[in-house]
Amino acid sequence: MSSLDARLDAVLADPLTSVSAPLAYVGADVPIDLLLATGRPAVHLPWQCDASTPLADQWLESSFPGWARSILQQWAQGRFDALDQVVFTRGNDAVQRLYYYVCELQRRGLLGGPVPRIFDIAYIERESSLQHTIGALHRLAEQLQVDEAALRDGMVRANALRRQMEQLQQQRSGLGPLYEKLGRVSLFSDLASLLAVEALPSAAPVAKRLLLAGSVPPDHRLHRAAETPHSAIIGEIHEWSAARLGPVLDTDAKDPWRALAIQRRSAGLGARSFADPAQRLLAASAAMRADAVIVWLSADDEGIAWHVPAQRAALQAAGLPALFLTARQWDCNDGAAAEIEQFVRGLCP
Amino acid sequence: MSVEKSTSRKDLACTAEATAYQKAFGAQLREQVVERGEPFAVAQADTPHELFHAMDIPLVSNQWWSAYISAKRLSGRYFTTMDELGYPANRCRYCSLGLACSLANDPSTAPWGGLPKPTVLVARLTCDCVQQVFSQWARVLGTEFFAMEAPAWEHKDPNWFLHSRDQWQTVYEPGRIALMVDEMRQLVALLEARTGRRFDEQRLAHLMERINEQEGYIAEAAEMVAKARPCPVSIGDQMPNTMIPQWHRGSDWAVAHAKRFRDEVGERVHRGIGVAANERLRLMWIGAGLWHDTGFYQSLEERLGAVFVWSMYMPFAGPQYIRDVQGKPFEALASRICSMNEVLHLPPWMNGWMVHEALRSGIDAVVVLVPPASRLSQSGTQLTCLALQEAGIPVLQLDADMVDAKQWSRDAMVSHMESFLKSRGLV
Repeated sequence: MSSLDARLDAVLADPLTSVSAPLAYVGADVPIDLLLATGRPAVHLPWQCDASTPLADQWLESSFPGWARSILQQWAQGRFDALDQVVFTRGNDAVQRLYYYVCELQRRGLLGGPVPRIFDIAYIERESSLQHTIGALHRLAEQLQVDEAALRDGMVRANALRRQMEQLQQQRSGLGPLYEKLGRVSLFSDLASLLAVEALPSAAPVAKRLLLAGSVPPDHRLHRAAETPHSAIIGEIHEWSAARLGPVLDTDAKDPWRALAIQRRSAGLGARSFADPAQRLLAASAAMRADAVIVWLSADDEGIAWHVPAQRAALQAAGLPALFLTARQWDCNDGAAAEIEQFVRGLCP
Repeated sequence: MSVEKSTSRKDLACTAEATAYQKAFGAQLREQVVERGEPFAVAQADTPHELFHAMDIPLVSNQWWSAYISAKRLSGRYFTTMDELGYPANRCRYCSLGLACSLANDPSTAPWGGLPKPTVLVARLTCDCVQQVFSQWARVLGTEFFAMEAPAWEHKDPNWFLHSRDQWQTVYEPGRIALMVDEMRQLVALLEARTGRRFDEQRLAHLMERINEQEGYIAEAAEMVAKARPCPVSIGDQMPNTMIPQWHRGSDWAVAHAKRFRDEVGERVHRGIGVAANERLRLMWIGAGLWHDTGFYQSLEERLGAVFVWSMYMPFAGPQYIRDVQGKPFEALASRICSMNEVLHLPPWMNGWMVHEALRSGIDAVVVLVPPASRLSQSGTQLTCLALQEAGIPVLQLDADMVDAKQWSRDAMVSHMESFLKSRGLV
């Protein structure tokens, strides 16, 4: 294990201690530009894949994903008490429901902790929905006490993160688990400071470049399964992958609120996006020069399950080998790793 | 599935009238859209049907069409088609039967020979699946999908049902109402452009008043059922007499039928007629109707005197449909539609209303349907169960699906319920 690996593991073990006075959020399409405009670090609420969740289990139904269960469990245990506000998105069904549950549990005195807010993004490609999102941005800005000048500063900071993530992606040629951790750490910590201290280890390019698509994996366990001397996951396309940040924004835009609203709508990678999921998968495969694709879907991700037939047909037409693992356990303790290993062996005889 | 009858016993004369009307309507609808090729729409139940009614555009509701397919015993076959086409097993089944029927593309066995091309499909985006199902369905049918937003709701009043009739601007939030009004006007423009028919706002205003009258009768019936001992009407009778007129809301027939239902319920109360000969327990059913085995609701009446007196459809009419129009028919309509799903599936609205209704109706125990693999249908049930238990009402959760009978055994479920009632000392 490299020392960078160890540093990343340390952040991931207890993400909230790595930054001071952060502003927290839940959901990939929350406008990080607006959060960073407060001058504070913005962190996603962390989740733990293998921890038990007895408190959350009393309140959440079985169809809630594991990460939501873990977040609510930690919330109930008081782990987020030092936070003052948490912004949830409406752009993901589980996240928006979690927002209402947290509000209700607080109302009934069963939960304490930070004030929940909601970012009411509207994905329909109509002007009325865009105007609604612009209004939602203004409401959130008011709650976070952010004005237009501060928003432009936030866009500068968010653009730096976008550029950094883009650069990281371009460097990828192997070391799948390490890059997965880097991606996850980018949700919780200042990646630039970490990488300023220690450079990325180099790796020989692998013969088979794999793209991971579908649901958000709990951690790097799927990457580990795909990692051989000849193969590695060299890119991800899922709701929380780097593409969630969207393209660099024009900080001099005449109307930064509108620019941000348009960018948020077009960058969405979840089930609420109206982009063609098969075309998006093909485009990501091409951009990452993938030799094969692994589509892993957790059983609770019922929205994107509807994309599977079109994605399968598109990959087949493009001649890209693909492994579809559908309706799977979020903790991957259902043989997913073994199936990936077998698939990879078939690619690299 | 048990060999017992899967349909429920009907006690009211008006129930037969309602089902006969709906059957005739189905035949007429078929003639309009299949034989005569008239423009028509397919829409989810929680969309503004009033706009189509006001423009005389025939409407096939997705839920009604699904029930129609189920009644023809074709659901299993179409779910198999979805499997064969590679749709994952965890897909939500509730809203997708119509899509499955269209994908199967088998005119020789499909109801009506399959749906012809509608003018538009309409759905509110209340979960992650709806837009997938309707987008794909629109592509299969070669038509357009008009999606409507389901925006966030920050005015969280657990007692919403006390204020929704006259303070709807506050309860449902002006911004949410304005967004839906904007969308409805765009939908009207689309319908006018595609069908050549003209929308008349005065006609909508009149329809809104007629709907208030109709839902007022249903609300009166609900009030009688809550107060009367024994319970005069089973939920097997409540559902068709509420839902069938609601598919036709505001029409002369619907208003007259709601009045007839109210009067028949009143007559039964006056004469002391009960659903069961020995009513001992009053039960509440939370969740969608158990469409594949409505006879289940009556299975404990004779043996235990346990009567299901409450299901959401009838009591929902008052708080969620009646609106003081206040000279703003579009806005009043938007306030009816913009939270129709949310109040039934999200805290604090769901639990607030359910606890109120259980107490108002003298409920002894509650049964909650928790369908597997559907976050939307499951949503809010845990917090609602806790709130009911805090109010001193025992709750049983049943893991079962409202449309898919594969995992259902009536005998097993009845035994399960009986054990539960015994364990709580209720029988």
